[in-house]
Amino acid sequence: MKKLGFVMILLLSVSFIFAGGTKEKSKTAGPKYKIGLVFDIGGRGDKSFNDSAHAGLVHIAKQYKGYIKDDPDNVNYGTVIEMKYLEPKAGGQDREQLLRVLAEQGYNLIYGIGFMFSDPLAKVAKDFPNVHFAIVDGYIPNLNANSNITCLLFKEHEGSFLVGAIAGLMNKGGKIGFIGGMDIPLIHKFEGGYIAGALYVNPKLRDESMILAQYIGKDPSAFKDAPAAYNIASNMYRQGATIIYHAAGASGDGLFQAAEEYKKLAIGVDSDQGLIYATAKDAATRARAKYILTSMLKRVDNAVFQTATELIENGKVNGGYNSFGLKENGVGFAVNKYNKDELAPILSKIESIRKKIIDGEIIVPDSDSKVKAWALKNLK
Amino acid sequence: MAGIKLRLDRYKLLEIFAPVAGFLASIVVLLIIVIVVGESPGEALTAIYKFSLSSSAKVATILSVSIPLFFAGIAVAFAFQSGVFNIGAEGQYYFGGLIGAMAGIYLHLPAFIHIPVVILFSMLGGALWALIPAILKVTKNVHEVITTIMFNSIALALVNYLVNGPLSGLGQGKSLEPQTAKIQSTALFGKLNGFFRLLGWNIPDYVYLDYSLIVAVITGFIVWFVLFRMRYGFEIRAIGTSLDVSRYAGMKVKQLQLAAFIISGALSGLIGLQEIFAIRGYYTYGIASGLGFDGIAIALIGKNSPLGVVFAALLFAFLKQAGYGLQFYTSVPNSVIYVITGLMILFIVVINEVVAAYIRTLRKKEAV
Amino acid sequence: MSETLLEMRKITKRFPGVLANDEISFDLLKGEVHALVGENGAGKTTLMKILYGLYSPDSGSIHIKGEKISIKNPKEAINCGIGMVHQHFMLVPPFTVLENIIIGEETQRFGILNEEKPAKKIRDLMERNGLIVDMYAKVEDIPVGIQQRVEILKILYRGAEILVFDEPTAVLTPQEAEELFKTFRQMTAQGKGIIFISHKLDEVLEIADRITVIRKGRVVKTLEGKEASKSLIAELMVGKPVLLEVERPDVSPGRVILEVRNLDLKDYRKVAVLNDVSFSVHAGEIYGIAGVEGNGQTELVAVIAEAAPMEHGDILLDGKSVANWDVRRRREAGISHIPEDRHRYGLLLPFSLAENLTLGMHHRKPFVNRFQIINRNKIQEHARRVISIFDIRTPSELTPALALSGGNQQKVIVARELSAEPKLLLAAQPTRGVDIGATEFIHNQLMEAKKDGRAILLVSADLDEVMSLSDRIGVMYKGRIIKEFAREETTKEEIGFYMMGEKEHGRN
Repeated sequence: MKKLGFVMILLLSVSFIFAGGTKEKSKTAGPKYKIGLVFDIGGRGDKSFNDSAHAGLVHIAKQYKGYIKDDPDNVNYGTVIEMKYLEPKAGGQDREQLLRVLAEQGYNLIYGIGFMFSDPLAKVAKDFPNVHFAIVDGYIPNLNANSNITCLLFKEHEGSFLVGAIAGLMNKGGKIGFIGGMDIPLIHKFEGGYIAGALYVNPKLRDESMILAQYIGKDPSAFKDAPAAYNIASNMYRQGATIIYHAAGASGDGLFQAAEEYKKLAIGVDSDQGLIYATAKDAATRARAKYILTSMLKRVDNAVFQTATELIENGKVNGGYNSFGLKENGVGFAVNKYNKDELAPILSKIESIRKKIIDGEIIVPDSDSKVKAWALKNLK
Repeated sequence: MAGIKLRLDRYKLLEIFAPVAGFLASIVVLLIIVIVVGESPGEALTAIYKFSLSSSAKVATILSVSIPLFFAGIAVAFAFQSGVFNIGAEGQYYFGGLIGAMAGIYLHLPAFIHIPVVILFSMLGGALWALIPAILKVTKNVHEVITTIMFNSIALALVNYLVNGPLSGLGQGKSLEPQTAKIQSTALFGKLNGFFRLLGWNIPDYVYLDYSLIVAVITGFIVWFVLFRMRYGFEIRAIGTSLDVSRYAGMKVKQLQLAAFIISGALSGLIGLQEIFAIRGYYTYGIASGLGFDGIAIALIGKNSPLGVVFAALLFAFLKQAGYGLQFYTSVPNSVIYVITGLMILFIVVINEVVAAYIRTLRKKEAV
Repeated sequence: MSETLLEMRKITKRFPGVLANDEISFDLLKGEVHALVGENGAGKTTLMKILYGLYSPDSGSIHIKGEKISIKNPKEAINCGIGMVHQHFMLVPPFTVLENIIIGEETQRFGILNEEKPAKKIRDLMERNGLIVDMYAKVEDIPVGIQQRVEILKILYRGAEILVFDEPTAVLTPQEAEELFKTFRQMTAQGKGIIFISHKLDEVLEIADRITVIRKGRVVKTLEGKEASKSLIAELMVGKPVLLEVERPDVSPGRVILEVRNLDLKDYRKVAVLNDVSFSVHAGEIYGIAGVEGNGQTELVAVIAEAAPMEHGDILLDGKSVANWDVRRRREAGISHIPEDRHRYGLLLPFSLAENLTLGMHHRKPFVNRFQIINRNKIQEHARRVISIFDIRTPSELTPALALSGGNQQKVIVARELSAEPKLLLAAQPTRGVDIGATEFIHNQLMEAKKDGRAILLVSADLDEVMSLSDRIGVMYKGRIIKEFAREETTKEEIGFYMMGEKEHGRN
């Protein structure tokens, strides 16, 4: 009978919560535009891909007096634009559901962050012709300017070409290395650009043994396996590598750890990882910062921001494919107050390469498998 | 289902009380967390309601989401009934799904044959993936927890390799997501939404109430019938209760274990049906992961009975939707729902045990 | 003689749904043996657990030498001078006798065990109580009867004045039991008090000064040892008159049903557990195996009931060798088996009685049809019939087996195995842990089976049971049948000697 009493207490406490806890949320006039975003797995706080998308939202808020709903950082610069982000679980129909609920709730522009959104986004977009959808890294076939989907694609190989060139110029005669996360075509874009860039500036690297490349694994966990990255990086440094570039998401930390240990250099990816590490809270992370030579930037934030700008300025977004390369400032490399002196001697050279790519003088191969043909054609 | 007699005596009522109490207790914890986060509990409950039960579309979505959860639960429950701790459902549906998808991609058959064929191939794949751990258990006494965990990893690596390599269906300029070639339209699962609308249930087209629902209903019924109405099911439950007694009674314990393990694998093969044949139309390494482990929790809460698993799967689907509701309408982080799900399992299992002990003493008293 | 050592006043203990002890009052005088008897579940164990601090009573009080005390745990009980010899010994097998006795009470100096002082004290205890043991032998090397002495020494060493013995003779031969009673008398002569829990009424009558009978959590009566009789105690325990002697039907044995020939069996350590065992059991005959537990009886039954890899020999049922058959085939050929350890082998506890009552036959018609679909009506019909014939006390045939009392559970097993209408029944410890009423019933059922012309192999640790039921008796010692008797031509004492192997050499 004691148990019955326990249940009664539970019920009482529930009713108490209902009676006491309601709090009024201030509701003001509706926003002009509502922008929704669904993260990839990992979500906000991954210090990389998703956070870069989040930075895009913050940029929108600043520029156009908006706010992000339910954000722990209370991003709030006004009420003209309302923004909301969600995070799915793995697999199933979850991505589709979240996109759909945003559309149902009257969001005008909805982003899906990551290639996993390709199918769900295409399906939902069909049901909501008046809502515009944008997908980062995803390719949906047969779009045109009147479609309500925009694919935001990055030329990671172009950015990688620049950091490859930096590595080729600063390797001091040593080998250079590349660590990929999961072995998928997307990551091979990074590798291809990187190798081509290095070969372009440094003929000595054309000897096959001079460039080391390895992938961590064949499943998504390869993007969060820092110990594996550490082992691979240590091995490469021992074999004589002086600079290693990674495209392995959160696994990159293992590379930076190895770089610190071997007093060699590393190149980060997606965000300005040198800056992030230099301003980190814990000392161990900060200590690694000075071994991060630079980072290949994939400006998801710019892509997110530019798409929203189109909506806010023109009232509509053009469908189709938006490529973000060096020209569109969608990729690049990081120069910050910590590494600018170190990079100073070669900056002009890298800048001229950048111009050549933008002008179409250099066409960067988008996979390591194409580098050989590219080199035979373009390098003497 | 004429065979099911709903005898609501007090023991049955007590048994029903356990999950209900566990559910309520975890909701209370949820509301406490909501208050700590600084939201109002009323709004949180409204958010959950809006996302789960507010419209027929939402209710139908819960039903839809529960389908793979049901398969996961019933697969694990079947093994549990026989005392086999199959935590390899994960690997089994990865592999089963792959085999099923291969049949869908490469066989050319008319739809009315193709669909049953891909279902059977999925089961076959799952069964195959359970075969080696099952044989190792029965012949060499290697514990299935260890082998099935290892086989989960092997399946994951194998599937990723195949999808990115030999079976990759990626052409130039296509989606960046690694995937196989498209499954032929004859093997794709159609939707039952129109049928439900005829019955007066007004659900929109986008909800995935597809053929896998029919498969689930049939599977549930067959599993129930085999376990509780057939001699082999009786023997499977007997070995799950006591190997010693079963051996004493002349049952062929090893064969039964082997069979139960493999059947559990075959059932696991069905977990991926909905996602592969109804949602995606191709196979990829990103097929819902973690369902094998959800299956353990669902079997536990459902007390390994097919009907219990139905309820537990619906409960899990509800929780999943509730989590999104909270995420959408409040600032409660999504991860809170993981905590709540974990707590709920804990509460329900503990309360189940307490109630079971209480019922035992009551019965003892009654029996003298 | 009249000083009260212990008094338990109006002890009440309630468990969810059960009143285990209902105002039980019990006292123990200095220098007496006070027997506590009652059927299983009557409340004896609960009362003793309260005394030993394992449970706390809901109401009532405990007084030692007139002083009210509260006992919260066994440690406090020991400090109060209470010692308990459990049915299952609490000894560390690889330790020596000495180490086992002083464990937890070691005297040490500079971290080195001092064995001198305790050894002297123990030697003294041994002599005074007639408990001679080799102090430096390892416990795992000494026989069960001697291990019990170690247990007693252990509690005496801790200064116990009140000694509780829970079924101490269950593991002893009649001679060892006599030795134990001698020790009892020596201890009582020193002014100690002994609480003696036993099912064996002969022993209770032999040793007890007073006898308290409890039934359903209440004290029925406390008798003076002199005024008590077996039938009186039994009646008080059960609540109705009990027939203690089994009526033996006059059946002349038929053809040989079971023949065991030159059986050799080794266990997993390659130690011989059965050694050249040969015997036969006829239709309508009960063949009893007597012996101290652990002399191969368990293995003998196992090898007949189920396929075990034998070294040598053969088992014939009705003239056909069954040695290579699996359990199912043996059962189908007509072997039934009441297992020794019913908790482990006998019942699927969460399953219904109906299901349990068909276990082993569940795969046969009419319980399944040819599509292997279970016919629940037939199963329940069968269950209802068996329940009424065997008088199993249960709310319904759908009640799970775990809800039944131990005696009723055993009845279910006996009923099931007999309802299979076997040619051969292996009855291992058929009445172990079963109360008097159920024991009487089971004995009668065995006699019925005998009348029906079934061959019965009876294995029991209770020599009285073997003596009263069997037509012929084989005594097992160290894996051999060292002597075979017709029932009429032997006595308990003679069998007892063989059980200890003392006549083994004389035979060869």
